[in-house]
Amino acid sequence: MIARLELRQLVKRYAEVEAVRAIDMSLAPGEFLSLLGPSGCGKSTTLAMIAGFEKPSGGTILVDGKPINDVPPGQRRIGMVFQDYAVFGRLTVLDNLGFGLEAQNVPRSERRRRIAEIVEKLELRDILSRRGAGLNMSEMQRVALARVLVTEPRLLLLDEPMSNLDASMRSALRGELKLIQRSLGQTVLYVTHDQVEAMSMSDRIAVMRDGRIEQVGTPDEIYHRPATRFVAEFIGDPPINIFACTVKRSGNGTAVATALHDALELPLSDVPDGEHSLGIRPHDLHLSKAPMRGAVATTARFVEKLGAEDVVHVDYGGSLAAAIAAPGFAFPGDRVWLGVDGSRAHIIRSDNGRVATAEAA
Amino acid sequence: MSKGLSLVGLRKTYPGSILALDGIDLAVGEGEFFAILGPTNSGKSTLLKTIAGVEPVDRGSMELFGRRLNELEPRERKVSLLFQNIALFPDRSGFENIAFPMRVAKRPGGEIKARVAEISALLRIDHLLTRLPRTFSGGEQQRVAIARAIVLPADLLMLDEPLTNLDARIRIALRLAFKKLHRDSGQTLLYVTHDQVEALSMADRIGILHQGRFAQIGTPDKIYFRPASEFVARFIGSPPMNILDVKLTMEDGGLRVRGQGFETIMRGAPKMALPASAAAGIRPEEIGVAQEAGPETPHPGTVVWIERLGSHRILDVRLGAQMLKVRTRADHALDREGPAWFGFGISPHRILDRATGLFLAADAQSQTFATNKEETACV
Repeated sequence: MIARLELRQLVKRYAEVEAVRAIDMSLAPGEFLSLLGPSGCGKSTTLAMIAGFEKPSGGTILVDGKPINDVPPGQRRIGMVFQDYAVFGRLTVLDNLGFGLEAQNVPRSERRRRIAEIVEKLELRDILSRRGAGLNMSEMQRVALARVLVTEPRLLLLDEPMSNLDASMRSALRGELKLIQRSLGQTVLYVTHDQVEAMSMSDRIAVMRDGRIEQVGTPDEIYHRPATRFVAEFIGDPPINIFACTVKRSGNGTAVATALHDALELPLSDVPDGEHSLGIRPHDLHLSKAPMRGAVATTARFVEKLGAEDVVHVDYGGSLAAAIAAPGFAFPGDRVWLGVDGSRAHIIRSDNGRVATAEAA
Repeated sequence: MSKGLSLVGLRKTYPGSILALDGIDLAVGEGEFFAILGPTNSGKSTLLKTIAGVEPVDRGSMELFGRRLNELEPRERKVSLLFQNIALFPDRSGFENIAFPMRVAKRPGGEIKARVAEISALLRIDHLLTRLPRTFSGGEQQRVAIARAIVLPADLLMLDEPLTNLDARIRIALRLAFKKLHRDSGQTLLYVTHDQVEALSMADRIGILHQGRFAQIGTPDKIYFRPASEFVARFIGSPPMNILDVKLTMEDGGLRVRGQGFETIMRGAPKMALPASAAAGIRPEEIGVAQEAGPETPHPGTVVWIERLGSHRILDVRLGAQMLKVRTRADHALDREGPAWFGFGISPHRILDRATGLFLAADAQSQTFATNKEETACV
């Protein structure tokens, strides 16, 4: 029942636009994979093709090795959860659960069995007679999932289900959704523009841009070893710092000169000499109040409070660098020393836009 | 801080006796960046509208730089208000849309050109100046509207959720742009938002609005580290503060705090009336985690789930029968689910009286506490 999904050279063309440009991707049985990207990147179109709402212009969609391009949506056995969960407010939870099964003409005794099973698994017993409109968001999410899961889908698609909810609610629902997915072992494809949702729940993330997949990897890989400049900039909050730099091979590693640092030694070997960009995350820049080895003196200009930590923006040549510091560490105008954790630095190559990451990261 | 905006006892009901503002007292200093933060329907937008004169108040007084506003017409108030949804002039270019308030004020052309260029660079809309609004995306329209609202200094500038619905990248960049604009202009600013990160990162002070009243007013650090009430504690923080039920008893050694799966003694706590029903507030990043028991991590628990968020991790932890959230750095040694050990101190200003929903320590009291070392003991 738990399926493998494979996309081969999948294309979607509208009149003038190529929305999805020959993507290859596969989901292992039981895997949670997120399609992550800005609006217009092609993620929702990809999902719609898998669900059967859109017809591919080219390429193949395979479930367990069998092409499903020509299978009607209702027979694909792919479950879909929509934005805001769309539970029927006037129906009771029990009627919500029966809805999809009736539509599929599942016999009554089989319906009963499946509903009983999912009620047990998702702990819905106490709310069965309540109406959809009276549910809290946690209950709503479980009902929306249960309503789809009773149809015994081979694959579950979720299309930005949490995008209209507030931050604390999303945080709670992420944990609950992940626990449910994991306990059922369900294969899930999750579409979102929210990096926190993708990072927190996914086994792997596919970052999309302009109809192409920029990188597929685990959340840690995407964050620590971005493949392209786009991925490096799209992931991370506050965003990665990017400075112009000059690279020169030196001994075992690479010497990098920027507007402020004149010789950073990075454990990198495969970057050609020349003008590139240095990418370094705010968490990998270290501030001190006194001179330190390898650190350069600069001035704090802006401080953004985030609660648990501060983002301190310091002068860096003609621009600003963002560094993370403990709350209250520095104030605008303060003299501070800026150190770089070279083992976590990235070089964004000017010749091909690829990112080389220090070996230690 | 010299006097800017002063509101006293502001009250506003909508038809059908819907109470929108329920006794607002607020003093905003000249040049201050003040954020009004609250959930939907807390009264945020109503408050801006009453100050702008778009909505009348039932009672209370409003003053701006010593001028009483109540009887003034909206355009006499010298305030600028940017609503959430604002229409641009469809037949004018981006430049002329932004320049409009300066044209009305008959500013010289050179000044207009320079000011529009400066603001559009900061808001990253230089590329829109020669184009017509119908060619703008939603987010671009929004940024042009922001530029028009701030192009001309006013005695008071009020922005209602200006960054809502913008793409995440742009939002982060504009946070810093607003800080720059504010620093360079010295503009007194009321900024309404439901996004805690915007309020914390930009504002000099924040007022947390809840059901038409300020639940707390203070600096970002104050609001975050010393919330006045359970509402504020749960509203701020990502994830929000853990609120754990505790039993308090005064002993010779200090104040004993007994919770589910932990017990600690607060030494040097002054004699005080203890609430019958109490809880302790602990921020997720204030909890220590280790694979082994130790003096700093005496309480055994279970990591149920780890959220990997790149720069840091959020752990869902079971301690006793309760669940709590713990935040660690991405390079923390503990990286797998299962049994682990935890430790945290409890500060006097983080003891919550369940009956009132307020944290116990007033400022004076917590300063006395601050000199005493708190100790956590394994029991």
